[in-house]
Amino acid sequence: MTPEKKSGIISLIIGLLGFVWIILYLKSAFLIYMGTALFTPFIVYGFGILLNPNTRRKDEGQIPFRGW
Amino acid sequence: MFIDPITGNFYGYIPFGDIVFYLTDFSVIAFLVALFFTLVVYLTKPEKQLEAQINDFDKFNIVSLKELKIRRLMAIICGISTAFAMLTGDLFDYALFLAVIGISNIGIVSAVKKEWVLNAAYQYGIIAMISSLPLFGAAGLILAKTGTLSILELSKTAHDIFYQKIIYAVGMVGETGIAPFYAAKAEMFKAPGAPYILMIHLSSLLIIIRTAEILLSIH
Amino acid sequence: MDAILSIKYIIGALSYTLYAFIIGGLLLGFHRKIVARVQSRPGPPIIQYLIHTFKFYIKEITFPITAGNPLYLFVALMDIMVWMSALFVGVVFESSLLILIGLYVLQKIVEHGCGLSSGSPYGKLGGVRSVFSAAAEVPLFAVVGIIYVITHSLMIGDIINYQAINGPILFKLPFAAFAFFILLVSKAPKSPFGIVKDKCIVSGYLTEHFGTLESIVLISEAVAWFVLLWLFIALFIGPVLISSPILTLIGMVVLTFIISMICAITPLLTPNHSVMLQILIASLTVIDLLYRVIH
Repeated sequence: MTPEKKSGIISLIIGLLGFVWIILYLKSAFLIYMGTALFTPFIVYGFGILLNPNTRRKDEGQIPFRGW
Repeated sequence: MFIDPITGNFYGYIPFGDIVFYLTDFSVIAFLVALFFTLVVYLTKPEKQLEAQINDFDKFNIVSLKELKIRRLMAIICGISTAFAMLTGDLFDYALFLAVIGISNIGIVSAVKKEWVLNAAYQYGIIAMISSLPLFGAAGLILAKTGTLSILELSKTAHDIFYQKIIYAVGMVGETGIAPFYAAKAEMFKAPGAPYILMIHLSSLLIIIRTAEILLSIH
Repeated sequence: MDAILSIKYIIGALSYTLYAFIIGGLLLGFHRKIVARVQSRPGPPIIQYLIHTFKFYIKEITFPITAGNPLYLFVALMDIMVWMSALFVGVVFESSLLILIGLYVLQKIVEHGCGLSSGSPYGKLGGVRSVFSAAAEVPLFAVVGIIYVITHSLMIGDIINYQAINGPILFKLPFAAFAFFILLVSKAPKSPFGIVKDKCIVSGYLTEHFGTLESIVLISEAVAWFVLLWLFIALFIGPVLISSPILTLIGMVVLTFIISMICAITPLLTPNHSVMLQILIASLTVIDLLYRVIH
């Protein structure tokens, strides 16, 4: 697994856990809104990584450019 | 409460000896942001800066382990004192936190072995030292005039401390090195080691906002 | 029971963000269209910004070996956090203006962090320029002090109520409104103050954030555009426009049109001139503030 995919899955897990925590423990509307703002980006990123197409190159995850 | 219309809901204060911390919407959010960033800085490995060379291959600027350790320590001190500067309800403690931030900012860049970075840190250090006089002086003048340093007390009744507030603001401007003194500080930002440099920037920006809050609250 | 209420709040928050994103994205597309028309090009369709965002969202990414992780990843995510929080604090709860400024300041941290954490020389220059312009943009928030002197409150709800009684602040504080407008202009793409995304440093701080990460930054910029326009309308024009969503939208379109014309007909300033001009306006704002405090 490439580090990118790993980071996507980790952030998806963080996001889902965060939402569960918000639903179970937070009571005031303000805190729930702020919690949503805090955890939505993790879900957005994780989802985006899962939607990435499968690469046709041999070395997965190493786009050839300056630095590699 | 009189600081309500500035910072949002007032949740109460923590009597912690002489130091009184108070919690409002603004201070809680800023406190959490500063602590969160301290954690990120602790976890992040410094980046390897790529530097273009004339007639040669590009070369990496790598932060060595020895340099990394001292800079990370300084960045964490800077982050923690920023976080508590957001909460404190005492003008003198706030000035102390500011002074610690100034010192740790110099510490963050002073481990970099590059001449121009050290020069910038030196110039910034001189300005920070000079401006600690107006900062602490203004706190002293406010104490002499009103008999208290607590922001909560000062916000309750009107005092005639307009010029003291201006001196306090001047001290803050020098200590964080904003607009007129930015020339020295901007050179520091080019040094390798993004997370630590970021901490300098974060602390100075949060401090500006917090000072604006204090200066609007006391009157 | 509580859980159902929480889920309702979460759905509310998410739908508000989606609304802000779509409106902001369409307005930025409109901005591009106007700039193109002024330069007598046909220009892309208005939904181009949204198309871009979706296109980049499903592109493969890789972490450059120079990058300092997890900061490299985290600052991009933080961009959305910052502007979603700004949307909720400002538009939904009409809470303190000071928190909004704090969030705007975090946006500067994001730009700086994006640039520096990637390790690319272009990103580094973009980040350092962002620090330069922060020195000039943050003092523009002396506007907040001027507003406080008049309204004696920094809660956005209170400021709107004040304008319901006393009429728009725009006519009382034209200079403060102008300073805030400059802030809006400097946030617009292709603006004369846009030194952080100057083409001579590739894409500035976004150079090494591509694919999904760039899409995330684009989402947050659309939300940011919505929030900043809303803030200008709420602070300086008040309940005349802000009470009805349709009128607010019309106000936003008009503001975007004016800003696009400015962006289209002015050249990009050099970093020195841009910062000098902003510091000049900021120091005039500070003098205005001192004058109003003393009198």
